[in-house]
Amino acid sequence: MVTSWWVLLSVVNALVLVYFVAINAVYMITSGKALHVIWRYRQRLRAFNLLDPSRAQAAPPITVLAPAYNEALTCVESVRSLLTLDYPRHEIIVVNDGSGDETMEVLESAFSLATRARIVTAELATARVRGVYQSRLYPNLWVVDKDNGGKADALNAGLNYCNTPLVCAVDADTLLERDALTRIVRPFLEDAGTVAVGGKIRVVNDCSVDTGIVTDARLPRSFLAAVQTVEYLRAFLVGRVGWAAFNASLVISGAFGLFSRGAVADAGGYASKRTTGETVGEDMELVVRMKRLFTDQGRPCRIEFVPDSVAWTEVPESLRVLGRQRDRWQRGLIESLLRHRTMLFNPRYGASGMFAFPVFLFLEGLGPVIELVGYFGFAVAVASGQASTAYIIGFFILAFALGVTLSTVAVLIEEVAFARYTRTSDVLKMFALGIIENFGFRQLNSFWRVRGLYNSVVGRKAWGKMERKGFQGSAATTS
Amino acid sequence: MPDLYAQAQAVQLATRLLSPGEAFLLLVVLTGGVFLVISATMATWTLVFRSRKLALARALQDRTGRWQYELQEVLYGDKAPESLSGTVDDDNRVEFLNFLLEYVRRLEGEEQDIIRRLAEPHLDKITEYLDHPVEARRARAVQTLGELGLPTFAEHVIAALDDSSPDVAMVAASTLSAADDGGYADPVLAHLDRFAHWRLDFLAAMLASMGPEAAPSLRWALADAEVTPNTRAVAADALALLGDAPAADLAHEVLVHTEKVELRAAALRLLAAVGRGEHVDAVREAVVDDALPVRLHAVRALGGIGAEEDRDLLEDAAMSDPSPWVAIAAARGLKEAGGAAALERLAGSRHPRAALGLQVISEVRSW
Repeated sequence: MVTSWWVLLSVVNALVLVYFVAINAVYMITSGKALHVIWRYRQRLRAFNLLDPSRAQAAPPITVLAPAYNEALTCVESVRSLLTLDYPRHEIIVVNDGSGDETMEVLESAFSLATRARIVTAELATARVRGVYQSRLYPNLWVVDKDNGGKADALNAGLNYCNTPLVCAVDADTLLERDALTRIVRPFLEDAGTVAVGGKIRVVNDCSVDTGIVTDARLPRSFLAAVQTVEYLRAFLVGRVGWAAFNASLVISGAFGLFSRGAVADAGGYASKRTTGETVGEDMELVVRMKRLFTDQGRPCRIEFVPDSVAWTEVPESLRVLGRQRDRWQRGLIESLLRHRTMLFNPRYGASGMFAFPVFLFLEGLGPVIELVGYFGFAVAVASGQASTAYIIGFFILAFALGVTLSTVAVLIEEVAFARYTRTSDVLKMFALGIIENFGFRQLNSFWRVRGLYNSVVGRKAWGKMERKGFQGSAATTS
Repeated sequence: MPDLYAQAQAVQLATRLLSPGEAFLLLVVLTGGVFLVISATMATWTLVFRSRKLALARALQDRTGRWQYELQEVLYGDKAPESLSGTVDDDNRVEFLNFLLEYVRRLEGEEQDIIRRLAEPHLDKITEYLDHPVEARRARAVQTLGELGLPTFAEHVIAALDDSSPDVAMVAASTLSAADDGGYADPVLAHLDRFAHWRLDFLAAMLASMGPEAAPSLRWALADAEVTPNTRAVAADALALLGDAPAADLAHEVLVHTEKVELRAAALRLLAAVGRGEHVDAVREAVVDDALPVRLHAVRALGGIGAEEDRDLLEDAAMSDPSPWVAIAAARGLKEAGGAAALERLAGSRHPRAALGLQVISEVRSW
């Protein structure tokens, strides 16, 4: 009995060690690559002036799709922000997904909507569309009013009415920077084989916002939101940039991404219960599906990330809401990967199948379980005298040091390449947060992700509610 | 060397003194320590970099503020350009050129010429960067010479079309195209195949920005069967953007004699812009082509240049073409051709595409 217990403990500890070495090796490789890529990108950007005003005809038309569900308090400001986008040819389609509040009424009165006929250009199955409206004030603003069907269903409804070659999916509460479309469209100009491009998401909490434009970027006062700011820097400036550099991107944030309309329609649209089956990670699932399908069909499928095309979003400031969000993200990750598991270690899919997919599945998907089991296993090993306290402390020092290094790299990239935070105190705080988050927040995050994994196994589909303060802390809203 | 030897001895001694477990632990802790030192170094470097950058930005702001003031005097004619140009130190020449780049993009005509005269004495310095190993440096040099130094440095910029980096070549093509001088069309067209993966409409807009002077070269490229279909299609689109009427016959020729779908579609786009009555027959045939892009652009062209009798063809395409894209374009073409009555008929019918009629009748286009 004692022997088998000891064997089990040894196996657990060995597993944790392998996981630890693997995940940190991956992070270090992507960090190094991201540093190199962003440095080159910034240099390259200075020499390119592709979409100067004289070449407005060269800008492919874009439809911005903004699904809205119970957004009565923020939708007008968000739409106004989308209307100020500095892009020569763009149309906005707000999809009211059967909101229970006054979203539709607010939009009608703010933008003087009139019923219009508009035929569909794709036939993705969606919940019933009640009506299509065009603004009398802004001819490029359209509203599709439909029965509730979820975010993916709303996006599909918008796609059905989209008649531009490119479509930009944003969350209704996301603020796009004025030049965000001009920047994110570049990969589509440079390579006709591009099917999707992700933009960078920044945290808007406590930033000054004036008519939909972030005028003063600052670190949130709330500890949780501030930690997420560093997390987002790490995820986007290190993770997304690194994966894109290896041509192995599997994720584009649902809050801001630009897609080839034809490619999305050919792939069957966003995953909803009326199309390819519901998932809470419809953004990731679409990207993985496009990668798989187009590779199978021998079609070009370039997926890029543009680090200086920015959307601002509000992040949760309460543990409860953040926990729900992380739970949902983890479910989305697992569902997307299991759905396309044929890609795993499949050389046909190149770096995506051989490198990114295993990393996302084993290290990001199952990693939190190993991490939590590891904490437990180490504690048991120490208590039962199977491992020395010094060994455990040494191991945690290493884990802590690697975690800090990753956050430092992310802040360094941010500062060298973009420097959006003008206060030195904010930069110092970000370095400090990279240290502090290792004590408590990291473990809590692992717990939420394990819960998400469990909920994914038992088939839970709920989205949970996001509580919002509004962009200037003006009003509390929920959706 | 003695240090290394001493270190090696220390490691050997430690290996002898420590058990394998302890050595492993030492290694783990040391690795963690190294990473912490790296993090601290990076954080310090970031802060130093930040403060240096801020100081440089302040100094640059002071200099550009001074240059800005003096530039205004030069532009108003109160001072000779040489009086400003001569005050720039050797160390600040590149910054000065960067400063001028911002202005050359905003100004036009005589004022733009003054900016170029201001830049001229400093551009030699930039040619040093044309062979720089970092491609971004070369690209920036090509851009500066292209925007501030044409036609004097045209040879250098044209040579950059052959640069080993496609990015540098694109910067050269882009700046030559923006020079508003059709004389550069030939070298750019000759290198257009280097940019085969770029979007056609971007390349066409780039070429069209050269202005009508580029039209003869573009026509030549469109007519030459030896030129790749991609380049010919770009030339056709550029001619359409320029509204080049003499290219209409060429477009007709291409439409009739080529089988390449993209090229035929481009010819139809050109005919939609500048075609005449004698080209309509070929366009009519294209309306029932098997290839979607050809049908799509054929109905668009027919709406613009077709005769009254073509309304039936457009109505038919609007109602029965399997592609919604062709149907929308046909309905819009019908409206343009004066077929509002047919659209109203469609809108009032029980046809599955009745909404299309209603849409196009009441349509207020966004752009």
